[in-house]
Amino acid sequence: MRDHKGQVVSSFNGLFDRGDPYNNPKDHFQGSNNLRHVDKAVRTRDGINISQDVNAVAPLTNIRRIYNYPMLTANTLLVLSYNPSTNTGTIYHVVNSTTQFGPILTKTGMTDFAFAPFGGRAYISPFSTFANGDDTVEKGLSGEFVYVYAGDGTTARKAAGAGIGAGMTVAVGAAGHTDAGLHIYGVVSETKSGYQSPPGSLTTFTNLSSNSVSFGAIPTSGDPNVVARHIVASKAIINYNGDTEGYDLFFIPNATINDNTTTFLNNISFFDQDLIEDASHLFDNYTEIPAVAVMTMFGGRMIFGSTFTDFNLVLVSADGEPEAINQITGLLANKPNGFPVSNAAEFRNVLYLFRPNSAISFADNGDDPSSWIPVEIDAALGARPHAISQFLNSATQNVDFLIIATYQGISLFTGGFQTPELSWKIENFWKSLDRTKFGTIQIVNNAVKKRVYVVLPDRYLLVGFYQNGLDTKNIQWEQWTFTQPINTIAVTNIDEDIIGCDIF
Amino acid sequence: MSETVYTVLDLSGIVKNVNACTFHNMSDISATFNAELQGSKSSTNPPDLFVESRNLGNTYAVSATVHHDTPPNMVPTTARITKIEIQFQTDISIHGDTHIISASPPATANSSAIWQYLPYNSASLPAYRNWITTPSISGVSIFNNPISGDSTAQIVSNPVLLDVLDFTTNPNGDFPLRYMDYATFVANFSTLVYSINVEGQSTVAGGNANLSCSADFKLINFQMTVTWSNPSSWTISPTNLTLPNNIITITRPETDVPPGDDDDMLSAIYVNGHKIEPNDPWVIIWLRFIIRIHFPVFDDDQPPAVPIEGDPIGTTFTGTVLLGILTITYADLSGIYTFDINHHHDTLYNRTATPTTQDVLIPAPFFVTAFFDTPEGDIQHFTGTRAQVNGAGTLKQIAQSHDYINTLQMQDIALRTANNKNPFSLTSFVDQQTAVRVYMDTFDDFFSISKLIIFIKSLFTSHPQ
Repeated sequence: MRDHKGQVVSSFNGLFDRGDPYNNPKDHFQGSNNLRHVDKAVRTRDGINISQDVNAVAPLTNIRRIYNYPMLTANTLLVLSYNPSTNTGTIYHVVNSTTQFGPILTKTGMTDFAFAPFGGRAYISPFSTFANGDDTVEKGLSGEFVYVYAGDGTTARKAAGAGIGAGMTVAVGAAGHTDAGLHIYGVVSETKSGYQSPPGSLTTFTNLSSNSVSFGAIPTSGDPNVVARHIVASKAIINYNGDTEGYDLFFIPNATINDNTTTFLNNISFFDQDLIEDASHLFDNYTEIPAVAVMTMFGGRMIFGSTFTDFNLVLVSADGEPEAINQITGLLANKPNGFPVSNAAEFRNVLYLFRPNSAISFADNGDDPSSWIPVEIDAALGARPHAISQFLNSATQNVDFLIIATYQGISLFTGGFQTPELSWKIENFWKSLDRTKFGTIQIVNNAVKKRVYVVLPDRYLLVGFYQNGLDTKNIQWEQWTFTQPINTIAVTNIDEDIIGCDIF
Repeated sequence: MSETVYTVLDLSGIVKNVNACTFHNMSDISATFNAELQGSKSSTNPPDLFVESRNLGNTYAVSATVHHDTPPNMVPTTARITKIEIQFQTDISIHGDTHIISASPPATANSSAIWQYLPYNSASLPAYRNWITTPSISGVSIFNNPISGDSTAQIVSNPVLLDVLDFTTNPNGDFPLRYMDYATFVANFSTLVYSINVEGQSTVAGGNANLSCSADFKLINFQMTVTWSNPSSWTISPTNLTLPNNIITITRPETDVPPGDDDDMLSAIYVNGHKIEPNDPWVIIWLRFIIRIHFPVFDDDQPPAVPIEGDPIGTTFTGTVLLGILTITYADLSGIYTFDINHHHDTLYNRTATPTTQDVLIPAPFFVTAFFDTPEGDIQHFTGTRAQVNGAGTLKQIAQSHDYINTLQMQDIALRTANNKNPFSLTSFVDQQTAVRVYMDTFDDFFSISKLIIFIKSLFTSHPQ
């Protein structure tokens, strides 16, 4: 080797696909596959192993979507299996490698589903991809609804619910105290998920000041998920106009029946001054929430977006009540631009709403969501479903950023899309992806392993290693292929990566 | 008329991938005929219309004998015919006369003649009629003019009737291999028979008229162009793939042709239409005479037969060459998986019988370095690499030039999990730019590399600098 000089490569920084490969930097690869990076070194990737014990359960097949589902006591998985021959999607609850519940929800046409956890429950909405001219859009399934799953293996049920039936009677009770005069009384049912129905069984009664009131023939709910009924009342009415729904109603303290069987409640005393907790807002709530393609949490509110009949529609629940959506004040104003609402995420107490080609923001002003003012953030870049990185159960991150896959590339989002993109080094590669299939891209961040996983339209993974820094220069990109196609990925149990593979 | 003729297959081994041959001026053609339409109608209640339509006598047959094996018009017996173009040059003259006998109110008359070119024999329908992918014009009215009073009109036209049979589109589903073989060509295209119909029509409104319409239809030339490719020297192995065993090897016999003159090297391959290039993640190795890939996972249906095609780099030909057809037996490998740091292979579900598991190697772990060269573009000698590496199994390397024109397998390195030496892999490779492909292709092999030294020396430089 006389006179042969050694050209040293001591730093391996992943794939570089930008411009002519002839000009690639010496510390990057023209091509690579199935490698991982440890600092500046490069190794073959870890192998994969089965996640379900074949001796304990029948392993699920045709996996289309996996979510990490955090319950009160453990991190588990919600898994969508889709059968193309019957066009049927079925969701299972995988608790661990040996325990699997379900099906918990089966729907025709469900090729994907939206999910948001709340209070240990899972809120699920079936959706699919539909043709829209030359492009595709993701919308909730026609004629379908949002469902709530309790996490106990029982079938998911429709969220929200109708008001209780009529028939309650009110009579003078034993000696006690009320404010004399005409009052309106009603019944609000409550499901096991805490949803309170619109007041029903409304009736009037004139109180006697020295007596309590007794309620009889209290209707029970036909919904087996109802676990309590509350008696509500108006304050004394001077000039009653005959409209039982035209007056503010309040929950009567200590007037709750904690079952769905008892039909009487006797000798309830209260003063009008005791009526503090409002129940009137329940009148205008959705009794069933239409299926959507977008679901996320914003503070204590649930956000729903893109129904089948209106892909611009965005609904916002009451604070702390994910199933309580007012049909008038719970609508978020956003200007249509021909593209559907496709994603939403909270970041630094601001709600960001995305379409494939735009982003707007909303701040909670403490008033009804319909009064929140939209602020345009970007008129060119947005995010398709699953294109915002998730960490365990939250779309917000433990550091100050979101990672979003846009048509332009994979970008950091800190209230605006940062340039240059994280995918700057592989721009040729990213721009070569089939844009009509961008709805299938999923991006997930494993903050402990310091990796970003991107499920690509061609059904393999793009992996970004950022242990040396999450920036354009230091991120190391690799492609990971498998014998079988990949549709989805999730991070569970802090840093365990779960991939869902499809049949060919 | 132009004639395009390419050299046919050179059996000495230099393969040309696209060939065409034209047959023309065949002496067996005769197709000249006249036809007339005459009629008279009267109408006193305008705007009555009448239509006189009559098939102009016989269906006129045209026959042509195709001499496909007579020099210089030869189609080799190994030909894979991808396209046939059948062309008639015509001379059509259509004449119309109208004499208005009386007109109260004034009458108008239209005359038209419609000719139909039908590539069939009325007695039997040849199979190739179903393979026409771009038919010639037919059924077109080429004379349709209003005539008032006594008048005469004539139109002369010389349309070229061209039928195209493109077998690469698999017409009628009869060509899954996307070409027609020689035996089928001879059986269907030795003698061609066509029929010509001419149909006339005249209308009169609001008067009495005598109308006549005649047509002269003449074929003045016939030409058939056959385009074929020769079987590629590349072969596919295996031809039946049973997943999860998904490695495909594409090879051809080695030749002495220098790398820079080797027109049959492939710059890309296509698996069921999906393009794969040398640096793509499905590729294990890409050399001049052997390419090995993993079956890609693009398709979400399960095509049982998958064509493998390639793009030769030569400038003599253009287009894609069929290398072979793969029959795939799929397996249900779907399910939920997790990464295992202790695994150097992939463990998949096996659902052939009672659900169990099966181990497969990690598909094609590799990297290709950047190019090492000099700013002046010197021709360099590359003598090997020294790697700071540990692992298990065999680390393989390939030296390669730009666009994979020049490639050379290097010495393998046997790895150890603990190592105090940086092994050297010797080679002798000369080119202007050199990159190194580092890969493994055996079950449970793995590597960890923290340094790679590439030893290069300039041999020749250009002047002036």
